Amino acid sequence: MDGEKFMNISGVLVHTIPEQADEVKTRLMEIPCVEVHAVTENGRLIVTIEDDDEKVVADRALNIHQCEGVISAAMVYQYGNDDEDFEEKMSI
Amino acid sequence: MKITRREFIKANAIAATAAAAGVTLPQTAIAAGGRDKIRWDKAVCRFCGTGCSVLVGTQNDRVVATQGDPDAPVNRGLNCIKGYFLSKIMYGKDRLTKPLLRMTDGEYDKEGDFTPISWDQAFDIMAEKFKEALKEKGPSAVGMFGSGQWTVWEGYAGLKLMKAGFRSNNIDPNARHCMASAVAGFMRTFGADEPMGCYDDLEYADAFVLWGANMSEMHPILWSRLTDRRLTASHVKVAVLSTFKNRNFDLADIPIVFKPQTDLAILNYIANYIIQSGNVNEEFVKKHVNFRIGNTDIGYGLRPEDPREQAAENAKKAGGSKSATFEEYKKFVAEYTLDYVHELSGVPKDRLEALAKLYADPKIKVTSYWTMGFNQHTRGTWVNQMCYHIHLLTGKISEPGNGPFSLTGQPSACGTAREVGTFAHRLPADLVVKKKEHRDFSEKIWKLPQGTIEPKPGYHAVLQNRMLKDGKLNAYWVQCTNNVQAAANLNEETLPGYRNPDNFIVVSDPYPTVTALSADLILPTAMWTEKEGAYGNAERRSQFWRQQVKAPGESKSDLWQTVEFSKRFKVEEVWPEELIAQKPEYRGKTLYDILFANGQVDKYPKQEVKDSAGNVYHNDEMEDFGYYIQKGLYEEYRLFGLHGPKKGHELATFDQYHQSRGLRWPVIDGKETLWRYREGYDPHVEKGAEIQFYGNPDGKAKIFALPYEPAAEEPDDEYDLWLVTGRVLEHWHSGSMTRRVPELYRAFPDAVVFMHRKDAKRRGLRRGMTAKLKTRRGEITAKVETRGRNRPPEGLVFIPWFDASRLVNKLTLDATCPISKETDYKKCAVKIERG
Repeated sequence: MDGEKFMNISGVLVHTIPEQADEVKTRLMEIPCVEVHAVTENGRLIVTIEDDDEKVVADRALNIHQCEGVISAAMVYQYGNDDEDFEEKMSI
Repeated sequence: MKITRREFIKANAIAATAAAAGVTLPQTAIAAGGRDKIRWDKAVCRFCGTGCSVLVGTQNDRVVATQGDPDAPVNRGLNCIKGYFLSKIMYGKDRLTKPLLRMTDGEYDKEGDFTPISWDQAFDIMAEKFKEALKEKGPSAVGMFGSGQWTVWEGYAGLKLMKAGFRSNNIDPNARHCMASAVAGFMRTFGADEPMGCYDDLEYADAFVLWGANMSEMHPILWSRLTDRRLTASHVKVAVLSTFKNRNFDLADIPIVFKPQTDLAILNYIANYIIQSGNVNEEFVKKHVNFRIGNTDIGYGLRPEDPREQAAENAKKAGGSKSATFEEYKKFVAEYTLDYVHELSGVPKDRLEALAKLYADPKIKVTSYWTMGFNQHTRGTWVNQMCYHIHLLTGKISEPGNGPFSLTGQPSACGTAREVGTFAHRLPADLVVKKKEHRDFSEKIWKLPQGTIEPKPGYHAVLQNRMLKDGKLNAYWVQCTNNVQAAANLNEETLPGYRNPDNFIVVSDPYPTVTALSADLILPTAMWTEKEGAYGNAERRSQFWRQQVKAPGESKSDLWQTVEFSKRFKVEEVWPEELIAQKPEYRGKTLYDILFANGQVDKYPKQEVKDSAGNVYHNDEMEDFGYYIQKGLYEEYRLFGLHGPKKGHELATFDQYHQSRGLRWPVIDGKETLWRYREGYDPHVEKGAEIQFYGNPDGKAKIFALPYEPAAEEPDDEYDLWLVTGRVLEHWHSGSMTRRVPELYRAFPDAVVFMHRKDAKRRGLRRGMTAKLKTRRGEITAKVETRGRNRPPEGLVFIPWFDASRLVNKLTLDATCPISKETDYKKCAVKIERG
C-alpha cells in the first residue's frame, strides 16, 4: 500500500449450523478482506477481517452478519493504528 | 522466529477469537504484545441491557479503542457490532459544549433562537421557572423525565431532588416505555421486581422460547451464547415467536409467526395444555402458588374521554382482582383449546402443540426470553404474568436452565430505573410512595421530616406529555433520553406539550437530538466514560467504571447538574412551614445542604482514584464538590437494600464493585445470588422451605386468570395493515449515538419499511420505491424493503424508529397497558400508498 499506512485487523466468531459450515465458509471467503482460519465441529468459524481502511471493517462485519447461514457473528479482537511500520520484522 | 508486526497482530486476532470459541489453535498460540501506549480499563457497554464489559483504551485523554473484556462473565471477550464502535460515540462532530437558551434580544424567549449562555445564567433561568411553577401550582407543576441510561447515582440524585426536595412524584424514566410491563408483571406475581434467574441459564436449558424478543439483532452477545448452547448440545430446541420472521428464525426448531395480540391466547392455550395433559406440578403449585381472577375489559390507557376508555368496564380498576381456586383457573383457561387458538392466532396446530409440549414435559428445562414484544403491549402486564403462569404450573422456575427471563433494552433499566426506583410511584429497593411504612423508612434514611414524601404517585411518562400539553406540568427537566423521538403520538401529544407557551422545558444531552431541539434550554452533558459510573444489567449484575477522559467544553454530567441545581433552592421556597418546624435545624438551608451535604452523601473525602496498575483517573464531580460524591450517594442508597422493609435487595460495597466484574444481587457476605427464591441458591430462603417467593408476605407466587382481549387499534378497511415499530442491529434506540458513528450510519442510514412483496405489489410499490405511511395521527415516507432480515407476513409492516429524519412516532398511538402504563409500539393500524 502506498501513502499513509493504516492497518485494521478484527477477529470475528461466527456461528452456523454445523451441517452448513463448509458452505458458509465458502460464502464468507467470497467477501473481500475476510479470511476463515478454522472451522470447529460445532459450527464455529474463526474469522478475521483485515483491511487498510477502517470503514471497510464495519461493512465487512455486517456482510458477515447478513451472509446466508450465519446464525450469529460476534466481534472479538480489534486492532487499528496508523503510526507503526507493519512490515517491520520482529522477534517473538 | 521472525514475523512482521502485521502477522503478529493477525495471529493475536485469531488466537483471541479461537479462545472465545473455546478452542486452541496451536499455530497461533502467541502471547499478546505489550507494545501499545494505550491505557486499558474496564467499563460497561453504553448500549443495551445485556451489560457486556468492555476494555476501554485511552490515549492522550481520548478513547481510541474498545474491545470485549475477556474476563467478563457476561460476554467473555465478545462484542457486538455496536459495542465494537463504542469508542466513537463520544466524538460526533456536533457535540454540545455550552448551555443554550432560546433568546431574542438577550432575553429568554420561547420562540427565540438557541444562544450560548453560562452555566450560571442557565441555572438562573431554570431556578426562576421552577420556583414560579412551585409557587403558583405546587409540586405537581414540576417534573423530571429520566432514563434507564442514567448511572445509578444520577438516577438516585434525580429521585432525591424530585421526591424529597421538590416533594413531587412527577419523575419517571424512559424505562416506562420499555420495562414497565415487566415490572408490573413481576410485582403482581412475585411481589418483587426483576428476574429470578440469570444468564447462566443459557448453558443449562434444554429449550429456549423467544416471545417477542429479536435476540439476534437486539441482544447479539446473549444470542451467540444461546446459539452456542443449541449447536453444542444436539437435544436443545429453540422456539421463536414473533409477528414477523426475523433473523432468529434461522435457528428455530419451532418457528411461529402469530397474529398480533394473540400471544395472550397462545399462553392460555399452553396453560390449558399443561393442565389437560396432567403435567401440572401439583406439589409445587399447592405449596407455592395462590390463584386469583383479574379484572377484565380494562381499556387502553388512552385519555379518559376516548370512546374506548368510556366503553371499558374496568378502565379505572385495571389492577383489580379477587381470590380464586385452581379449579376456577382451570375452567377459565379451558376455553383456550387448540382449535380456538389456532384459528385466532393463525399458527399451525402442530407447532402450537410442539411448543406446549416443551413446557409440559417435566424432563425439559425451559428458559423463556422476552423483550418489547411482551412489554410494549396494551396487555403487557398480563402477558408477562401469563408467561410466569406456565413456569409456575410446571414448577420450572428459579433453578439452572428453568425460568422466565425478561431481557432489558437499556444498560441500567434495572440498575437505575427499577432498583433506584425512578418511577412516579416508586422509591428505592422495591418501595412505593403509596405505603406509609415505605415513606417513613425512606424519610428516615434521608433524614427528612415525616410527611415530606407525597403518597400519591406522580405523572408517568405518557401522562407527563399529556399534562404538558394540558398546561398542568410547567417546569420540566429531561435527562439522558430522547423522548420527543421515542414517545408515541408525537403530533397530537408530545410536541404540543413541549412547545406549550405555559411550559419551560430543559433538556440535558450530549447531542442536539430532536428532544433537545424541542426544548427551551439545552444543557451540555458529559456522557459514558467522561464520568464515573455504575449500571445494573438484566441479570441483577451491578457493574462500575472509572472516569476515563474529560468531557468536551463546558459539558457536565447529569449528576453534577442535578446536585448543583439543588443549591438554588432555599428550603423555605419549597417546603411548607409545618415540615420545616419538625426540623428547625434545616431553616435557612438549601436543598443541597439537606439532600447532599447531609453527613452521609458527603461522608467520603476527596481521594485519588487509582487502578491496581497504579494508573490515576479523573473524577470531575469529586473535584467540584470536594468529596467522593458517587461513593457517598451509593453507600446511602445501599441502606435501602440493607435495612429496607422489602428483603432481598442487598448490594455489595462501592469499593467491591470497582474491584469486580460485577456482582448479582442480593449480595450477602460478599457472595452473589444466581437463582433467587430457591433453597441452596438464595440465602434468604428458609431451611426446608425449598422455594419461597418472599416478595409476597406468604411466600407464594400468584397466578391470575386473565383472558385474550383485542388490541386498541386493529386494521380495518381504510387503515388496513398492522404497523410494528422496533430496532435494527446497527442502531440503538433513537440513534442519537449510533447515527453519529460513521460506520454504523453508513451501514443503515435510513429507516425502511419492511413489507411483504404482495402487499407492496397491491399498492403499486416495489423494493426501493418510496412509500407513504399514514395513520389517523400522522404520516411519513420511507423506502420499501421486501427482502432482507425481516420478512413480515401479508397484512403487517415493520419500521425501525432510529431515524430522526423520519419520525415513526408521528404514526403510533399512545395506547398503554392500563396497569403498567407502558405504550404499545407494536400495534396500530396504518395505510400505505405510493409516495
